[in-house]
Amino acid sequence: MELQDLMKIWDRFDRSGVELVELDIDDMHFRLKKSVPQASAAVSVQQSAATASEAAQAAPENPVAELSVKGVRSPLAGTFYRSASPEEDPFVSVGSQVHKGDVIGIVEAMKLFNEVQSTEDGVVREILAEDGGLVEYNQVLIVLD
Amino acid sequence: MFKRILIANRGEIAVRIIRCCREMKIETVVVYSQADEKSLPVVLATKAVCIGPARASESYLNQDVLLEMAKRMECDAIHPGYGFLSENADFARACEENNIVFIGPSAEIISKMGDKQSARKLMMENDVPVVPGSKDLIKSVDEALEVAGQIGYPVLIKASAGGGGKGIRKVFSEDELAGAFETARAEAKASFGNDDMYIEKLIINPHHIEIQIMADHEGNTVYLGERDCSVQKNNQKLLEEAPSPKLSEELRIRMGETAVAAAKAAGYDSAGTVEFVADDDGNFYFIEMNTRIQVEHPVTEEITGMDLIREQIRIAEGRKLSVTQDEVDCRGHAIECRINALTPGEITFVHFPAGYGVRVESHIFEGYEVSPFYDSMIAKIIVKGDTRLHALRRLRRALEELVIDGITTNAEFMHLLTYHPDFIKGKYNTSFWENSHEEIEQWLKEGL
Repeated sequence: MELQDLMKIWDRFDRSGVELVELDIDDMHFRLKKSVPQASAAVSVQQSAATASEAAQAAPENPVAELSVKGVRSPLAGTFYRSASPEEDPFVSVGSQVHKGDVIGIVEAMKLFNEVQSTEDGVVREILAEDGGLVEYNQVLIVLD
Repeated sequence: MFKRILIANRGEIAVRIIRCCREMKIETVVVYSQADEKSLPVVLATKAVCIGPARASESYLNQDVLLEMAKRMECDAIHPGYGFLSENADFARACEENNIVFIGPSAEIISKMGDKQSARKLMMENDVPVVPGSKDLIKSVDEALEVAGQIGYPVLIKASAGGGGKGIRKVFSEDELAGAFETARAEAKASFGNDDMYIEKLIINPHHIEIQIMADHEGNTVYLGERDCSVQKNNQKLLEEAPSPKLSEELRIRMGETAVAAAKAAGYDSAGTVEFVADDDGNFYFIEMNTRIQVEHPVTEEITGMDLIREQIRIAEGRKLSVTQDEVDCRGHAIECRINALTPGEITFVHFPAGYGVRVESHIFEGYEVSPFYDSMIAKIIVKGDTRLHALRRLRRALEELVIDGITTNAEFMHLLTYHPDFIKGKYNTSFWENSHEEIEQWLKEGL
């Protein structure tokens, strides 16, 4: 097992949607683990060592998170806003406590402003959608713990 | 010139439009539903945006989202393809109001032609032969009885706002009329929210012949030959060919010129199709005008050598038609065979025919999941030959080569259809499928 082979495996793993890979090669045991769940539009996630090289496809430009991510998804496609108006504070920030039903943002389409309500309780870990940015239907807007 | 076009459609027509745009160096934005996340248009487009769940009303038919995306992504124009919003006057108008070019005729024209009775009236006023029928809308059963008596049975009761076979009843004798009229009217009300009715003479088992026209903003209008679409199962086309084996050259020219007159009367621009029914005596009658690009446009492309999607885009950009009528040259014979999925499911293996004179328009690939949410057509096999017989043999060869595993399709049925004597002789009308499908299904079981 050459160093460059390991780098290749590591590189592939990095680009994949897989979170953990364990390999036994040449009397050596490797364990590769990601600290943050990766966003990916993977077709299927295969987590056996032998198929590590066939792991899910590279991450796309559009961040569509895996179904296992706990968060709030956009109910429609449009423009996302973190606050009700530019003068007001954002609905939530990282660390905010969110209850099911709380408004976490607005998605606007054709001058109609849709309040997005959280579908779960949790603490905001990450805000994935950009303020004023385009969001797709079902795109993860915020990630909750 | 357009820089970016939003494609408000899916499947093979979305792929067709993307390919054309790429060749014209126009960027494409494809909006898709969740069911179409892993699809060819999404892969091929410059940018793809998921706009809703599988349900068409929440995705492909959602006008607000489509317009929002077009504006947000700075698209100059929207191509609506066929079906969905392609003949929706409200949507065309909304595009106009939002300074986005709708690739097709204006909202006004779509509206005019979409109202079938007023389209008929317009044609009558311009000496375009229409199926004999009522001059105005029929308001009561008594009126219906009177008009039907004048026309002569059998008659067809039709909803003016109709489509998809709804609000239509065949009436073969006077005693059936009252009941049929009331039922059709109620159905029309339920289906379209509009119970305006009219009556036409019922032409039994006609030939369905349509003329492709193309017009630019200056009013230059040409006809690009005809298509015979008489092979239909329950009013759904299975196969189309150009030219029609039925038309004489003289009749072809007359119908073409009539179609152009009809288009000019309507003030038409962009691509359109004027539909006629023809009987066996050389009479033809206007039925309706389709104000969109049609599924079967490739057969016209094959015999004229013209790229109709490209032409549509050019016209929408404000450019002149690329040909005059004298320059239109129809050569050879083309046939299109529609391949429909009979079950949903994953395509486990696909091999498309190729080679000289064979063209495939499809959005499927190995691993593609054919979903039950949308139209079942998964591929179009188009062949071109010097003669009809040549094209027929080529179609057989192409269908023999075609392999689609994982789902069942109508491919084998269509292949055997090409061996039916009536089809071979070109002596068929809209009753062809009804009269011959059992025989063909028998061949499927036992072999020819």
